[in-house]
Amino acid sequence: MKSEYSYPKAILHIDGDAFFASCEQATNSNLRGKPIAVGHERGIATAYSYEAKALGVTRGLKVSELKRDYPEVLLVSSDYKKYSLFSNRFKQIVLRTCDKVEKNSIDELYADITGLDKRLGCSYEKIALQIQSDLHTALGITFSIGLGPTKTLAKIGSNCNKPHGLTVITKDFLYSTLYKLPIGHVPGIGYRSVPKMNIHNIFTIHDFISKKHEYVMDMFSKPYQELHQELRGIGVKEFETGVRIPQSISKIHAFRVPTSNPEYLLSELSRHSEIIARKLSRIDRGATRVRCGVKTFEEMTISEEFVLQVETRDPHVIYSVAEKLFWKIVNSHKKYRATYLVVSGLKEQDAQIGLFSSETHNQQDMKQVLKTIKSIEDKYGIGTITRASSSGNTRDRQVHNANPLVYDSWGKKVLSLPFLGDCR
Amino acid sequence: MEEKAQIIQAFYRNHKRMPTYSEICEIFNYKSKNAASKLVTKLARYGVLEKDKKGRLIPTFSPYSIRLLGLVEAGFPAPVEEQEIDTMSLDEWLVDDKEASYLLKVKGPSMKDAGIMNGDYVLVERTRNVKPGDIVVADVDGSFTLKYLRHNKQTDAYYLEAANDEYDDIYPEGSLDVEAKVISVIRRYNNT
Repeated sequence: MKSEYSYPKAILHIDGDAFFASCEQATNSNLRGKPIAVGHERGIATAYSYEAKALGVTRGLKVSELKRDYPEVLLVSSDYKKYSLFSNRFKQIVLRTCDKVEKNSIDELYADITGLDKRLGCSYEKIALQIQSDLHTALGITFSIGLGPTKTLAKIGSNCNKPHGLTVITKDFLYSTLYKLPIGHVPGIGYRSVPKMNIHNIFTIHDFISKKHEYVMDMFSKPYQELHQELRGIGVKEFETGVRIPQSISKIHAFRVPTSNPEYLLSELSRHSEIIARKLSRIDRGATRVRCGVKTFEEMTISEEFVLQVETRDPHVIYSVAEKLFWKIVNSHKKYRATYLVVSGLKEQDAQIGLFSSETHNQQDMKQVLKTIKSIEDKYGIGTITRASSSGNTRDRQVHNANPLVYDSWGKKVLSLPFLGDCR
Repeated sequence: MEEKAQIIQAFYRNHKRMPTYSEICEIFNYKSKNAASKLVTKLARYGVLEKDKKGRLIPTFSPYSIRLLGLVEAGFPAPVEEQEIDTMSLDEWLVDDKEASYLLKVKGPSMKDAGIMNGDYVLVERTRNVKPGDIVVADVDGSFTLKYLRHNKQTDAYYLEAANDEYDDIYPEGSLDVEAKVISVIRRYNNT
């Protein structure tokens, strides 16, 4: 078979089909072929299996609504450690074929396979099908793939034929099908941007790419200029294969039962500050700006930003700022269902700091404490030692309808192999 | 210098990577990265490490070999020659394809004559490469079963056979869904 694919660059976008639900079905044979929803523990169903989607369920239903409207859908607890484990395996398997891989989120990644056709002696289509089949065999989960000349086109492609599909963006497909799609199908153009595009008489992708380059440069901001190029088949989005240094780090967590208890809310913020501090030290940065937020069912209230004099990765500093901000926004009459904490203004920590602003003994002691905690965590698992203010809430690890991962006796570390339950 | 080199090597063994400059500062209590940089230059001269194009450190020592001493027989002093031995961890030995491996717990005595007992764990691999005679995990009517995979030459049909006379062979109605192949059996005595 001669390849129809004629572009010099070959980018794959590989997307897990109903990823969270698929991970649960892969690890529990009881759930296979059945309509399931994931998210039991938070009271909101966040992901559905294809069987459930076939019944007409859409995103984000409260558990009570789901039970009322779709009683046949099975509710399962979500287990993010399990999804991360599958996500890492997903990347590792793709890395066996090609080394230029960029993880876009937990359930999707880009792979640049340009030139592999000559090295492996087979077409790009075949390479894509081989990766798809390797993933299915090893993980028991199906993936949809788009093959195109740019990241953006490949990503639109992977969404064209779900589940377990391969969409090859040939010139023919581009003009006959893809360009006719509504502009909202482009990743990066959300429901807020669509009306803006409509003002410019842009309703389909074709309308957008027909605009002259100069026009787009004048009328649109940089992300849209990039999309305009990418949609025309000119790759401008770089591959980021290394560790990405983020602009900000945030943590949000929703509780099972909404609460107005400030102690509980603060202990959640304390927990967030620890998680954020851990991420900061992993990427070797300190933060200078802090905000916190609380969310009711209807709305999220976010505090003003607090600017620190010196960057920090100390959970205690982050928490004490968050606490001050928290008291400014909290309303004791409202019931909250989630807390939010975000730090930004990330900077590399200055090694010279000791020279002029000579560290107090206190700070040095604290550094020593943080170092010790880290070495204990390396050995016994993250969360072995937590701030006393975080310990107000011990989360129950109650699992509904799912096979949990195998934990060590401390209950902190998980076995790197997913557990499939009993066999007889 | 020898001692510092050993510390760097120990870091590599513990973290499976070389330290960054700021980590070197932390380890040796340096106040500045300049001091760390000087140490790196020295260590490079000693041949302990090298810098890559981007200035990151790469080891030149062989990192995973733990030095083992030869056997010493009681009574006579024996020449002890230091041997470099490549070692692997238990899971490197047990697991072939890490990304395709899973764990299940055995319930019931259906495979007892194969030495697989109630309460054992089986390590399995999802693979295309399954043949009659393998012990497999199959999905039968929505639950996993652990059996020998067999092939009946006369009818050209695949079926499942227990390693226990009290269990009947299982002939699937449609196709036989083999989930995975058993790679090893794990029995832990000190916990549930």
